[in-house]
Amino acid sequence: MKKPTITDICLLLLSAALCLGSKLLFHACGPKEDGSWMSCHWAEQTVFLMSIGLTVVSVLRLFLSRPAKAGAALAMSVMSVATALIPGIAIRLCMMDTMRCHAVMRPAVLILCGLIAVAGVVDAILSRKEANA
Amino acid sequence: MNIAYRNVRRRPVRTAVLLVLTALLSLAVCGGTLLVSGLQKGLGSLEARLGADIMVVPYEARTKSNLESIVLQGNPGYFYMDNSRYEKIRGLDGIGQISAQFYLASASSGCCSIPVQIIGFDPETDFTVLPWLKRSYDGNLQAGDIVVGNDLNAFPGDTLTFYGIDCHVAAKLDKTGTYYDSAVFTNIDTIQQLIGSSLDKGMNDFAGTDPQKVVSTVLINVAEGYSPEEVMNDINIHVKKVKAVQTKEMISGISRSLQGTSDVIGVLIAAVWVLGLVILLLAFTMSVNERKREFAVLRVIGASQGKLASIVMQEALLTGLCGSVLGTGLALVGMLGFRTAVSEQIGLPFLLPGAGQTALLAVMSILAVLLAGILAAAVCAYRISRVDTALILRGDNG
Amino acid sequence: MNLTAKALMKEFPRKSGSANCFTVLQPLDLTIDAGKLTVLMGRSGSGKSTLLNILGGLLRPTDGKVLAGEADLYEMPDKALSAFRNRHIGIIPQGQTALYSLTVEENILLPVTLTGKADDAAKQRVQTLAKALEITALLGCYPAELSGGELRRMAIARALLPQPEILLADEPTSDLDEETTQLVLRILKEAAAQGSAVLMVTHDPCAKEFADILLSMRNGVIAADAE
Repeated sequence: MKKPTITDICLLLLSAALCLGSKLLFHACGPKEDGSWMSCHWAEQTVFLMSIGLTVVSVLRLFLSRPAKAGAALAMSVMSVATALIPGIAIRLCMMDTMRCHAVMRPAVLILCGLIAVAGVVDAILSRKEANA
Repeated sequence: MNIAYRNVRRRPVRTAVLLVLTALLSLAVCGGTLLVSGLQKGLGSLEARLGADIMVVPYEARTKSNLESIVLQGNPGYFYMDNSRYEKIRGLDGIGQISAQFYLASASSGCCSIPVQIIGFDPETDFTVLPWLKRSYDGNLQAGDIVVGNDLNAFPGDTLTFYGIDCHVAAKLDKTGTYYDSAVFTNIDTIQQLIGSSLDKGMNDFAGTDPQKVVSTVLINVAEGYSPEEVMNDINIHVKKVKAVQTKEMISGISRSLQGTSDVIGVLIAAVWVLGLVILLLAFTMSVNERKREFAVLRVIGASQGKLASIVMQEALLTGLCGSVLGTGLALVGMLGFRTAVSEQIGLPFLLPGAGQTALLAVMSILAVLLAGILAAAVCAYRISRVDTALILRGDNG
Repeated sequence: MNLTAKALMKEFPRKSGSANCFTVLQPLDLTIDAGKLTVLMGRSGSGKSTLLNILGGLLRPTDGKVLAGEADLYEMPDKALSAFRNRHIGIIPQGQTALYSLTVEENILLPVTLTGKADDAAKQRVQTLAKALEITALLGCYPAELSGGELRRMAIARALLPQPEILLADEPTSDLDEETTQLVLRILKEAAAQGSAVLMVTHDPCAKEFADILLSMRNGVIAADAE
């Protein structure tokens, strides 16, 4: 394993943050009084699953060759964009914008996914530069 | 090759410390100012939305402090009084404009189970809701039509069901930062229908009044030549079981807490800045002091005093610019992304300024931090440019 | 270009003690001739480095003047003096004098970088100097990776890069082994042979055999012959 670059570390940390955060920090609304879940809960679950995928890829990348790493970084960008589209677009959130899923979960997921997408693209560009140098 | 750029790049720890510091300064100034202006704009919006001199509510609503919870914080709730009181108030002297509103808290709204405040108004007499409504909706509300506040996740054309009655979303209001955002508006006919339906389902308490003959609040603008206080006292004396309050007084409570919050934020920003500036100055001084010998070498090679100063200033500009852009970016992402969570936390009317004003604020905060960085660096630049090269380079065997 | 000192005198104020100041250089006249290697020897504290710094335009004398050719160094404003030093005077200061954020090559290129003339010709000259000083392999390294002797050779290359008409070296061989000392002395001698006025301040006896003019200094006074 080569020494990880700054973008490797960023991708790993951001994916892990999305994974842990979606369950601990910026989870969706809680269950209703009757114990049933609202649809935002399933958005949270899907984001969590995607973030596990992102974290696994970001760890596996560390053991790949440079071109394969860049490819994986681009794949992570695409995956993160798809993840960003889950809450509110792919899966409807709650009725009121003041509810937790709108006020906390969605912006946090959007920001983290945006950062992962940018880090992935930057990594790919840097590795291309490295290859040309 | 730029010497300043290389110095910044080759000293990652020092650069990181300076970046964090400048980012913190711009985060404080941009985030704090956005917060304060959001609060001020929220208050302004609330004043505009209330839009009446006097509000009359059933007496028990006032004592249970129900009113502020519903009107100022947007918590769903309801209270009713008999229609006859509205008629009686209308007959009093000094009444300019008068209109009644009807409150109803829904048990559930569509997909998710949180109650929504439904406000019924009389389009014939209304003077508080319509001016705002007209900005988003031109037509006349038909029976079964509703207008939703900005925080509701419903859009024109959607159908929402309240108490088993399908309501058609005719329009969505612009963001106000007040209780309007989480409410649903409709006309008298529709709300009477909803009240009736809720009664059928045993889900509302009308405290013995006839639901077909109730109102929740009466809003009044006083006629010319009368003072709101005079009219308010008149109502409180002559109409039983109601409480008239001046909206100005209701807002003054919020205004006071807003002032308090703004002051606290102001003090925090000032503290962060004082601390930040001191550390910034120290960091620059230390970074220049540890490189005194390097600057002396540059003098030996033929760098003028001005050139040395310019290298120090360029380093400060570079780190200042990156740090302040980073901090301002964080503040914008945080405040814009989590504005709803922030406003929920503060519990005061909150409305962020528009895009233009926010962009201006961001630029100003970047400039402020750059200026602070330049000032701190200028002190060091002056000192280093006047340093005694020969003394620094002198060994022990001169 | 000759370097001439006229009635040069330097006093330093004392921060404590009974006397207000002490005299480092007694009034002296001195000419460093172009094309000659002048070696100034003397004990520690005799005033050699102070004299060198004054001659290099780095330390204003209490009295007297320094003429580089026709130019009176201390009559020039700072900007003009700095530009003059950059173009005409090469100084090899004591101790380690690297910029640690730049590579060895970039350090050597500094005099031309300051004036925005770090062109291919300058880079070619860096290669030539590095070869002569046996530091070619180190050009891509950062100063923190170099030994004291290697850093000293880097400083010599930097001073020689603009082909200065005046070269002032303060203990240039102090950190070096015998072989490298000989190498450095030969290079300074070569610079003199090519027309530069070279002054070397040292207490290394090896320098004597390379000197065209040998001077010695004691208590701020210069004598014509070495001790």
